[in-house]
Amino acid sequence: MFEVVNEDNKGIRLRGRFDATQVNKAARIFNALQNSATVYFDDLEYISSAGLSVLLKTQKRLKANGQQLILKNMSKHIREIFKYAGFDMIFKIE
Amino acid sequence: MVKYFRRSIQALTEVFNFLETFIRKHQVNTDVSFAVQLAVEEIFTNLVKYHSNNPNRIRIELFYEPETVTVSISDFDVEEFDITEHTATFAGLPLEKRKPGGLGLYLVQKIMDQVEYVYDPQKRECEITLVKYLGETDVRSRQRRQ
Repeated sequence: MFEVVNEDNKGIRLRGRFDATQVNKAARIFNALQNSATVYFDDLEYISSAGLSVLLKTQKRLKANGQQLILKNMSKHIREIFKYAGFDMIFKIE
Repeated sequence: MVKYFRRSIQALTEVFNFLETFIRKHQVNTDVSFAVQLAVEEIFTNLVKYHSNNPNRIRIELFYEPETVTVSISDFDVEEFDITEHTATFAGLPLEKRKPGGLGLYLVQKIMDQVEYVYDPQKRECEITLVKYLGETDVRSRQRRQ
């Protein structure tokens, strides 16, 4: 199960497992972003390179316009994957 | 445990169910189970993407041993593509130079303790072996040491 919810002024909340089967669902939300947004990872159990790629494409597009994603409350395992990928250098992770 | 899976990204759900059964049966700790799930997804999706017209199913076999979890992934009637030689370095690249391709195989190398690729040119079969050592937090490893 995977859910991605844009909570209007509160940011984007990810829930469940963000694997390769969920890319289109996530891309619909992230592709619509025009301004900086906070992404909450509290309830995200798992992410693979497919999920990372959605975030990377969004960050590239937003940064080109002076905007960015801010990522919050990752689990230990997901934070480790971000570090291995070097994404801790290109995302603000809180 | 061994099972064959249809060559489709949507089959990942069945792959994860298969892994979950194995993880529960052997009480594999979350560090190892997270790494194994990620590595299997990355290899499986790579085989699906790059051999999309191949009608053969992909074989996954799992082994639980005293100190390790081992995954063997086999594909049939395929060209040679040594995944261990196709991993770019991502860490440290600035945002503008980042491209999504190759990240998955790079992560497999980072999170698994051993990654081996064997290709049989006569049979046109490849076997990818992934090994993850069980840590101190693994229930059975801990029990064995007591």
